[in-house]
Amino acid sequence: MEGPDEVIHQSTRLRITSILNALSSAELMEFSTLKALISASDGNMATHLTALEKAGYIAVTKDFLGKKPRTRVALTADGRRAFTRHVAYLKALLEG
Amino acid sequence: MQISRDEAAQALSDINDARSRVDKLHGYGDAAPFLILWGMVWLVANSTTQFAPALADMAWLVGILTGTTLTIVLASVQAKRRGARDTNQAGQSAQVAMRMGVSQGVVLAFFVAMVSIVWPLDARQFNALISLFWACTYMGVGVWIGMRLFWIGAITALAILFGFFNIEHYYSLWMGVAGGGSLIAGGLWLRRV
Repeated sequence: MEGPDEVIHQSTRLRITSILNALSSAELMEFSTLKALISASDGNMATHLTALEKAGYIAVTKDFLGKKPRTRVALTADGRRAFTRHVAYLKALLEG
Repeated sequence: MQISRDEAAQALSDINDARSRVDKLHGYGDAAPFLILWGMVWLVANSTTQFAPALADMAWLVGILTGTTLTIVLASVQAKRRGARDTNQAGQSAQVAMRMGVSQGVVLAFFVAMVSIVWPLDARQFNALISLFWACTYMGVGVWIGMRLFWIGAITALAILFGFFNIEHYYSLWMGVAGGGSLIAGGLWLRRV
């Protein structure tokens, strides 16, 4: 059995990846929406998103909607695979 | 890194919770444009009934035809998007959508049968009944997709009942502003996280 994913397992990062994994691969989530769903502060979110981005698990896209800056986040293919592996590990731990 | 069974169970529970939050977000996002659309129809058709009674029938006919057409277009766009969201569940979603459609048809058939039995109704009674029917439908759907929709239906139903029993001369205007307005406000509320 493969070990847990240390990047994903941290509580806030687990919630972030769970939410992003529930979206389709073509779907991006706005930072403000993700923050509201997680109920985390801007600073806390930025720290955990940076950790996930460094691991190559999420992609952050910054653009403008009209004149308003917009930050959107999505799980990468690597992130989706890592999340799936981590969930399989958790399930195996409970069943084993 | 060691994870205990309790921690694993908690993590899986958090994952399910996150999934249901996203499902609710999608449900609200899908429901919002329908509420705004039908709120506009109520607002315009009821206001026309109040201020230009001669055009009332035409306003309702155009409103209902426009609302129905846009509802079909929106529903098919959303069905395609839902399919893209989760291709594994696309077949299941189609089955659920078909069952929901049939259930809605049964309730609509009941409504038509009930109105036929109690006919004749005056325009005021008919307006209140059909508006209450939709408000209660939103409440029923809200139980399944999220309580915000339930409360929007409940507030709309209360506004309809209040107007029916308490407002005489400006009843249609009340139905447009309070009934349609609460649907529009509710739709905007659903779009907020």
